[in-house]
This record gives sequence, structure tokens and C-alpha cells, in this order.
Amino acid sequence: MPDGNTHELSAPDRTIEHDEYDPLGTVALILLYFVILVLMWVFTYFIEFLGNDPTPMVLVMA
Amino acid sequence: MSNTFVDAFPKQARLIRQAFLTSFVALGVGALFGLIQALHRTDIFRPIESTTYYTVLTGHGVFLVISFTIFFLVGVYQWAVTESLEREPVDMRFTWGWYGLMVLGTLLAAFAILAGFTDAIDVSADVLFTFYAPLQGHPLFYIGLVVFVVGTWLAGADWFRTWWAWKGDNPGKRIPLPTFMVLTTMIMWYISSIGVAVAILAFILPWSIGLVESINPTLTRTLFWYFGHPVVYFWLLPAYLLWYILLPKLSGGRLFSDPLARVVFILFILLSTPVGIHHQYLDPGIAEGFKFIAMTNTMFLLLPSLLTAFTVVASMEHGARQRGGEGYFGWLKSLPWREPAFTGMALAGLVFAFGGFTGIVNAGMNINYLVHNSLWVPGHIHTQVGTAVALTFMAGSYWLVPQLTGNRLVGRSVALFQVLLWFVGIIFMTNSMYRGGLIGMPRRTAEPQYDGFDFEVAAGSVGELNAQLALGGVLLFLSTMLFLALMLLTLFNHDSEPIDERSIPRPLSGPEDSPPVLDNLKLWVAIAAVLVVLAYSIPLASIVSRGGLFGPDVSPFPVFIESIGDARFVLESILAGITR
Amino acid sequence: MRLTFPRLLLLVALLIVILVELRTVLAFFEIELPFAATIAIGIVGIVALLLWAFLSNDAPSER
Ligand code: HEM
Ligand SMILES: [Cu+2]
Repeated sequence: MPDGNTHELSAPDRTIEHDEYDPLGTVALILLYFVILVLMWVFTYFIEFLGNDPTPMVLVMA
Repeated sequence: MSNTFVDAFPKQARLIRQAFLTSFVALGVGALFGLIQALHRTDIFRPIESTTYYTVLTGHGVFLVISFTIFFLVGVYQWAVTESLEREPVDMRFTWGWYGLMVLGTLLAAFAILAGFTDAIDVSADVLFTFYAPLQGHPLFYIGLVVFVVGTWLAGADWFRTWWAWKGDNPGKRIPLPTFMVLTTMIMWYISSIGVAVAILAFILPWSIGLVESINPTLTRTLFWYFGHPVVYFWLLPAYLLWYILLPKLSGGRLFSDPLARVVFILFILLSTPVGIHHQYLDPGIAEGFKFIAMTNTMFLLLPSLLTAFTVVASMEHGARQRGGEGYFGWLKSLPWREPAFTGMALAGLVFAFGGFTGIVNAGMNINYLVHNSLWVPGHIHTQVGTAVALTFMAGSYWLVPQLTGNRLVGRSVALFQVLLWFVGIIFMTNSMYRGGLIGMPRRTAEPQYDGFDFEVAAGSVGELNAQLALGGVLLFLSTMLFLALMLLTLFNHDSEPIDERSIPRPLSGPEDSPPVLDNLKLWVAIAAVLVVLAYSIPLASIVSRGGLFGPDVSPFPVFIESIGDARFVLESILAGITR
Repeated sequence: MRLTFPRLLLLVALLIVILVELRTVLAFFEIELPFAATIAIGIVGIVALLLWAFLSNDAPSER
């Protein structure tokens, strides 16, 4: 009886052994992640450093 | 399926169910407190007084990052050791003994915290989960923490004992990977929790009982953070274990590399302790040079997490390709997204990868000044332990709990909805926290609104940030309740069978591909000890020589409800001193 | 149905998440999406996704 709740979790269509597997998709994803990280760093630099005034040199006491 | 964990090891399953139950109770209470905070600090709904906010916040911190996470950890680790060694503990009474100690410790600490809600009992501990001196809580709070930690130490001893017994029967065999992960985590825990044990037993507890008059806050803070960074890995490593062991299977594949996984866990033994000072960049009394060393070590600590990203994603890709996936990105479509255990863990990993970036921001000595003690920090906390760990635990439960009960998961589609709801909720809440932090909104504040001052919001408005935070908090709370309901229903879903059995496929590249030195635990302990001594001996010595072991006469600041008047007086006199 | 229901849910969740984060990114470039506009875009996006998913006769492509 087909139960909507049932399915084989690990029912691979074919088996791929270590020698025939190159994780190219992983490399692609990780490169993408690094690009995003670099962009975020560039952001950080522009937002938090160029965007703010330098620390005041003279403190005026009230 | 009849080949479930509970069929094979009914006694262990019972203990683990118990540990999970404790963990989930803590999760439920913690989530309720989180909801109260989210609504209170945004001034949307304030059912409690603002002074009570700190009782709630202490409960939220302690119940979630101590009770929920660590009870879940002992459950998962008990499963991992039993499953991978195919062996029960040497003496089950000892096993129940440490579990009992952990429960006792939790009850004591919880009593001390929750008593803060009522004036009828003269006990409270509104010291937040970091319990910085000179904030002072009731001694029961500290005693509870110590008893709890001793429980975890004995749990570790129990797993080592099981392993030794196994080694006797299997001479010369490599340590099975899950057990290897458990043992290395516990070594890290032993090395680091000494710090908090000394802080409490030698200084804070005697001081809160009244045996000693004064305390050196810099010293106890430094000892706390000596433990406080590794503890984040104590939360994270069971999640890593599930990512390495369970996620490949759920994806329909096999773990890419057993040796890489071992290297990662060894790096955590070595590097997770000599970095704690990165939480103290703004603390006076610690030289810049030591902070710089802590920063350098922290940046190295990124390495094991990047290795994990690679190994885990490669294992998922292996599964996807076995299921017919193609292309550079197309394989992502072949993953079993309808399976809540899989989807929850995958999304947890995604959030972790981007939250990791905010961690690099925190770790940079200079940029840290921008975000320190701002709402940015809870933003970071909730993407990391609050999602990478918490969501992985919930998703993992969707696979583990059927294995532990022999019952089928109730509401598999609802479970999928639950993890997605968490994902959306956490983005709403943390996005607002990060942005609020960048404009200087403080964390740990019941009423972050001030007369005659407006935050300069970069985009949008404070009202909008608040609405977004509260909405996120509500979604997270609902998601938690859904999770707990499904767990409860599954527990009573008798006369059903899990859809999966307990076996874990062997890795693509097994332990035989790695040098045996990786299993030489004594060697790694020795190197770790050297690194800790290098990083901490001089800073500790200089803190003690400047401030004395028991401090430069710092008197306690008890956090009792009655003393709020005193607190106001103290604050006013300090302010008067500054403005004078 | 072009998509199975679980996949549809996942895409809706991702859409909301990307929208929230993209709005933050755009604000840093001084492109400020007002609150109401963001919600409108979100609703339009989700409806478009639903239409795309439902208005086709293909059998759901499981996997
Ligand atoms: C139901 C979902 C949750 C909600 C609505 C929520 C809400 C909040 C809020 C608003 C704060 C900031 C309080 C402030 O600084 O004034 C906070 C702090 C915190 N949360 Fe959560 N949270 C949730 C779940 C979690 C989870 C699952 C964890 C960890 C496993 C966690 C760990 C923490 C920690 C460690 C803090 C900092 C406590 C401190 O500053 O002492 N939260 N939470
Ligand atoms: Cu840290």
C-alpha cells in the first residue's frame, strides 16, 4: 500500500565509488561562498570604515 | 523496519529518550522566555516588569545553552558510542548516575533562577548565563552548575570506559569515527571546563557564601572565557557529528572522508581553548599583545569549520549524484528536500556558513569595537548556537526519536514546515538584531529606548526593526512548539514503525586511508596543554599580580529584587563621579 | 503541478529569506525599499511562484 509518509531514505539509483567521484559541485558551491565572503568583507570596509568619521582628536568636556 | 536502535539496545534507548526529554523541556521553557524578551525589549507587549526581564534572560541563556544543548549532547553521544562500538556501558548504574547528577544540578540552578520571579522566596540569581562578578547570585545557582558539570565529566569517563573495554576485545583496531568524535570532544571539554570549575569553586562560590570578602572580576571573567569559547564547540560538535554521520546517509550517499573528519576534531582539541580572550577585547587589564595572540589563534580556528563545509557538502553531493543528480549546481535538485531531517540540517548548515562571517567580524580586534555588547552579538548567537546547533538538533530528532522509540514520526510534512518556519523566523529576527547592533542598540537591555536620543537607522526605522525582531521571535516560538508537539505525538505513536533502519553506510574513504597517529589521543592532549599554557600563563599571572587573587577589594553586587534600589544608588553615584 | 508541495514550500521560504537580506544589502547602496513595498514584492513573488508551479500540466518532477 503506497503510504505518502513512507519512502526509502537512502535508496540510491546507482552506487558511485570513491575513484569515480569528483566533488565538482562542492567546489563550485565553495567558490561561490568565497566570492560572497569577499564581497561581504568589501562591504564591511566601506560601511564601517569609510562611512564613519575618524575618532575626534580633541575631546570637549562639558 | 524492525532493525531500529531501540530493538538492538533497549536500555540505551531508554536513557537517551530520558536525556532528550530533559533537553526538550528546557527548550520549551527557554523558547517561552525568548518570546517574552523579543516582545518586551521591542516594547510591543510588556507583561512583566522590566526588572524581571533579567530573571527571564538568565533563564533563557542557561536553559538553552546549558540544559537544552548539553542534555541533547549526552543523548546523541550515548547513541553514537553504543551504535559505533556495538556495545553497552560497562555498568549501567554508573550511566544513570551521571544523568541523575546532571538533572540534580539543573534543578538546583533552575530553582535559584526561577525563584527570582517571586518575593516569597529569598533566593535569586539574575546574573545572566555569564555570571560576571561582581554580579552575585544565590550560592545554589553556582552549586547547581558545578554538579551539572561534574555530571558531564562522569559521562565522558563512562564513554572512555566503554571504549577501553571495546579496545580490550578489539586490539589494534582503529577507533570507529563516531566514538572518535565523542572522545575528542570530551578531551576538549575536560581541558576547558577546568577554567569554569576553578572560577566557581575557588572564587565565586566562596565569595557568594561569604567565606571571602572580595573577588578579582578580571580573573574570574578570564577563567570564564577560558571555558566560554570551547563551550561553543561543545554545543557545535554534536551538531557536527550529526552532519558527518547522519547527513550523508539522509542525502542518499556516504561520508566523503573519514580521515578529514578526524583531523577536524583534533584541530578542535588543539585550538578551541587558547582563544577565549577574544571575548575580552574590550576588557581593561589585559595587554593588547595577548588579545592579538587570541585573535591569531581564532583565525586558525576557522580552518576546521571550512574543512567541515567541504567534507559535508561533498558527502551530500555524493548522495545527490547517486540519486541521479547532474551538473555543477543541478545536483542540488536531487537532494531529498521533502525529508525534514535532511532539510533542517542542510538549512542549519547554510545559516551557519553565513553566520560564520559575522563571527569573523566579532573576532577581529578592531571591528569588534563596533559590535561589542550590541544587539549584533545575540544576532550572531542565534545564527550559530540558536540555529546551526538548535535546528540541527531538532532535525536530527526527526530521525533519531523514531529510532529511539520504534515509532514512526508523526506529521512528516508538518515537520518540514516546522524547520522552514524556523529558517524564516531566524532570518527575520537576526537580520533585525544585526542591523540594530550596527546602529548601537545594546544587548541585555529591557528598555533600549532613551529620552532625548534617537538611533540613527541606516535604512528603515527603529519601529520597523522592532517589528521585524518581534515577528521573527513569534515565528521561532511557534516553530518550537510545533516541534515539541510532533515529538510528543511521536512518543505516543505506538503500533507504527520508523521508515528507516539504524545502519550507517561506511565512508567513501575509510580510516585505513589515514595515518594511525590521528588516533594517538595522548599526543593531542599534550600539544593542546602546551598551547593552553602558552596562551594563558602570562595573562593570568599578570592579572593576579596586578589585582591579587581575591581582587582589589571589589564588593559584591547582589542581584536581588530588593536591592534594585541599591543598584540605582550605585549607578547614580558612579554617574555622579563621571560627570563631576 | 510543476513542483512537489515540499519543494514549493522550500522555495517560498528561500524567497522570503532572500528578500529580507537583499533589502538590507540594497539599503547599503542607498536603494531603500520601503516596508510596504517589500511586503508587496514578497506577495507578488510568492504568487508568481505559485502560479508558475500550478499552471502547468507536467507531472510533478519528483527528484
Ligand atoms: C524561541 C526562539 C527564541 C527567541 C524568540 C529568542 C529571543 C532572544 C532575544 C530577543 C534575545 C536578546 C535579549 C537581550 O539581549 O536583551 C536573546 C538572547 C539570547 N538567546 Fe535567544 N531566542 C530564541 C531561541 C534561542 C535558542 C534556541 C538559543 C540557543 C540554543 C538562544 C540563545 C540565546 C542566548 C545565549 C542569548 C544571550 C543571553 C544573554 O545575553 O545573556 N536563543 N534571545
Ligand atoms: Cu569565542
